[in-house]
Amino acid sequence: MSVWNQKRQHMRYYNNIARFYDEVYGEEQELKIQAAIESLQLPIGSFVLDLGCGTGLLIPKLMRIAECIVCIDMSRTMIERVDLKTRRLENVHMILADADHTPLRQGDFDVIFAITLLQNMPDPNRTLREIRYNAKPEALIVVTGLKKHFSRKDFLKLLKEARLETKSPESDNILNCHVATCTKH
Amino acid sequence: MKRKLMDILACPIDKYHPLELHVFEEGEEIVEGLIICPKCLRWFPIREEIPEMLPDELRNEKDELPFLEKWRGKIPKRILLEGKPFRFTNTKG
Repeated sequence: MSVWNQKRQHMRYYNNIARFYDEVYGEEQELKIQAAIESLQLPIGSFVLDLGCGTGLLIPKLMRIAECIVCIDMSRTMIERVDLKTRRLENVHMILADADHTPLRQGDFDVIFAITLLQNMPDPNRTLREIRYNAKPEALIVVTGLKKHFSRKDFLKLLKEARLETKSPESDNILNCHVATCTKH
Repeated sequence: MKRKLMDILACPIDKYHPLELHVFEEGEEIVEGLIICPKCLRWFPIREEIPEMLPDELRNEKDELPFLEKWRGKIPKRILLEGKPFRFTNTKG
């Protein structure tokens, strides 16, 4: 299947499940988010990029600390599920876009989250290159990788190939994914 | 979409910045509008407050030409004639 057909398929899938996504996956996503942010010292006033934001579960955890939160997803229906009050917060911005082709200037973000993203991307190396492009030199990058999709070894190799230095590779047994906090080499 | 987002937006294809913003309807946020890359002439709709900035391959002509038609009178001629990825083949202005 071509890269674009895979992406179209994912768009359709998430558009279809958006209505009941939080009900089915909300708890699992909350656990991942908790694991992702507990190791972080998020500086006040940060510019945060949430790639594959889905229904916006990460936003309430960051909205009081971040100067700016840009949320990107390729499913319009998922974005529409983000609570309207949250979407309209002055420091929150939603964009319908592809994580491999972000509509953003180079190097604007202090923190980038890619939670439940890489396993849905046809070429995770390509996606990580784009993440590097968006990151400031000292940015923190938090990435998850579904265990049934990536072995721990393959996941760490992928990050290394993308020239991301892994600070805290978590492999919590409760989670169905690896969680890594990285910086750029 | 909030106007402030324009400070960091770039074209998803050639990464050009700054992009041009045309606002057609505005309430608490920009409800409907158009973002244009002046370098490659790609246009991106803002619909129901959400900017749609997908690459060409993930866009659907049937879904997007009605947007150009709806705001035809407010959209720059160069976009109607030469805009990417979709444009009118016959524009009477």
